[in-house]
Amino acid sequence: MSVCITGMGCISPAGISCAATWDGLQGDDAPGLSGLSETGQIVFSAPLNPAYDSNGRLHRSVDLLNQALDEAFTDAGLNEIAGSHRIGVCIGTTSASFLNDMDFHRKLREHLLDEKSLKRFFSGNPAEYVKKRLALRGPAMTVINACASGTDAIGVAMSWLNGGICDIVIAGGADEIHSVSGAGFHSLGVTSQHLCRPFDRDRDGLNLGEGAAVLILETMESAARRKRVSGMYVEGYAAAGDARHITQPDPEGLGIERAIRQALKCAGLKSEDIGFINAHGTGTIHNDLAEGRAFARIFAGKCPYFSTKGKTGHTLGAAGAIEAVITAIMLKKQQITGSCRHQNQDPEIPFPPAAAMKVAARYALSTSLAFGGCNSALILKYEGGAEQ
Amino acid sequence: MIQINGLGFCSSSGSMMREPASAAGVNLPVNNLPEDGLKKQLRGCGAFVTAGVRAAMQAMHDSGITGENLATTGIIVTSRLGDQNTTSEFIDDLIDYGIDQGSPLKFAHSNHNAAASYIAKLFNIYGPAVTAVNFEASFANGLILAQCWIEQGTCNNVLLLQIESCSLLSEVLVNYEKGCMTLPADTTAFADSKAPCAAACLLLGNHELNTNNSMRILLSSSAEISYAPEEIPFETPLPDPARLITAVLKILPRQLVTIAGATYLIEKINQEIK
Repeated sequence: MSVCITGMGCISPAGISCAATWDGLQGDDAPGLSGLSETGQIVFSAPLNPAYDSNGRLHRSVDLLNQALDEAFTDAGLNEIAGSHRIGVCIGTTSASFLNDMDFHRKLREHLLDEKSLKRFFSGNPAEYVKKRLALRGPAMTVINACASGTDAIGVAMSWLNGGICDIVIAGGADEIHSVSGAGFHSLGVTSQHLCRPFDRDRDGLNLGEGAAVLILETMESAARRKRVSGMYVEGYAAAGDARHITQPDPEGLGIERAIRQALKCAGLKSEDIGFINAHGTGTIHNDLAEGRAFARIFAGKCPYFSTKGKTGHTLGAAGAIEAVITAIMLKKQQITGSCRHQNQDPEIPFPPAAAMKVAARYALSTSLAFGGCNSALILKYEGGAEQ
Repeated sequence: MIQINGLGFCSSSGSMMREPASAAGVNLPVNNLPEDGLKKQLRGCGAFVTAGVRAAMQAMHDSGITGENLATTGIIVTSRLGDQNTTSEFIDDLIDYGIDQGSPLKFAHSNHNAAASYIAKLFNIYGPAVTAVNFEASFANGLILAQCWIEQGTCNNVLLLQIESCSLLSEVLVNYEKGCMTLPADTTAFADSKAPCAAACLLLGNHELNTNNSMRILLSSSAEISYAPEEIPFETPLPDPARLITAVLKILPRQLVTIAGATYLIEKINQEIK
């Protein structure tokens, strides 16, 4: 059963808000705040509004989340009613925020931990933080499904809404550029020293990024009662496992293929109904190959696909949520931005990604792949005219 | 209706295997993985993942689930702190040897969804998997999601796990909850391979599709589910998933579990953890 999207908020390396992120996705140049990590890899920072910078009192992931949350809350008109509705929170993140805090760990092992550090640690669970900040009454779950966390958080929210657990769910993802995740991806040899080129023949790895996105999801009844039916819906979601390897995806993309087919079934759609695909497209050899092959089997080259990570970087646990917001914006505008910096077709990938173009799409697909063999597919629907 | 088809526990003292509840002659997927093979497959894992895999194995064994049904099973792993010891080992290397000296093997295993990943890989489970780490209501959240998945037809069976390990951090937090900041003097006790660790697993299934299972501990229908977080206290103790599950079921019998089912389950868990 579909659920209504009544509000969205986003901060990414491409922009400080939903509208700014769309503007920042245009063209092939690097995002404004790109730089080098401690291990010398290119990373994309998000332009956090100084008003949301807690100056270390909270984790940066939570600062980013707060900014996206406020934009989404305003967009959904929820500011007045938060305490009086059954509102749940489900936020995806990776190990980069409260669970992998290097300074905290250093203090812990050197017996220098103080109460202030512990309080910061306890405030670092993003879903529980939001629940406490807004004094909500529903469930709060932080999903740690590696790079599919943001998409899976939306999937959990959909389950709660369809199961009658909540009327409204604050769903999304948040992650920061962090020395531990930077060192980890560097150790795996999957980061690029250049600007990433998703799906390109000469791609050589990903660029890490950071950001947060929040979608306010509601049952149709709740949205209608609040007179907030927007015309944008989460129409289908599915997740499937590779059951194969702890970090690498199935090279044939069998897991993501299963997820996409199940999501189509969940939405009651056929592959030809999908107008475009906002792919995970990290720019690593293995991810892009798996996705490209799966798309070819399902869509036979008839559905344009692309990756926005050339502009946002790989925002890990936030990626699925940020890309869901971007997908929704593209549906509203009936326009896709194409796969940034793609130049040469990879002969191993049957069909090349799309360039920027106008589309006529009612449904769009957003995919996520993650360590642990997690694959997730999200289908959005838009009923309304093209927005300029 | 949802029912509990199998139970599994594993602590650092080792798992406790029971005879399967299903009819004899069924080829259980668990039986295809002998102990030597399991040790080989888990050689790169710490206690957290190992405990989770063994608890899941026992729940599968207990239920008698077939490989065909297992393939579409969902996996939900809940934890309050995640795999702190494996994470710590990766970060220790960065502090001790430099930011560019991280071990790829340790990093891969420090992802908190590694336990779910290993369970899926070892038993060919292709269904959805969610790992959730929450200080509060972690297992109750997992139980609610499992019920949603089964009732909405996302999957017919769900392996629901709670995994916790003792770590330097858990010791600090336990002491902090008691109002002091005393730290344990001997930190070597929390090396990944040595740390006390425990996992508990429920194999939940759709009652209508599992009528031949002898356990048949029924959970309530979705209409009766209500989420009452004010009734769920901060879950303690940290390193004991079985007691945690028991505590949650005791608190939420009217919302989530039929009274008879809850009493039976709690007695069974208490027997196991004695």
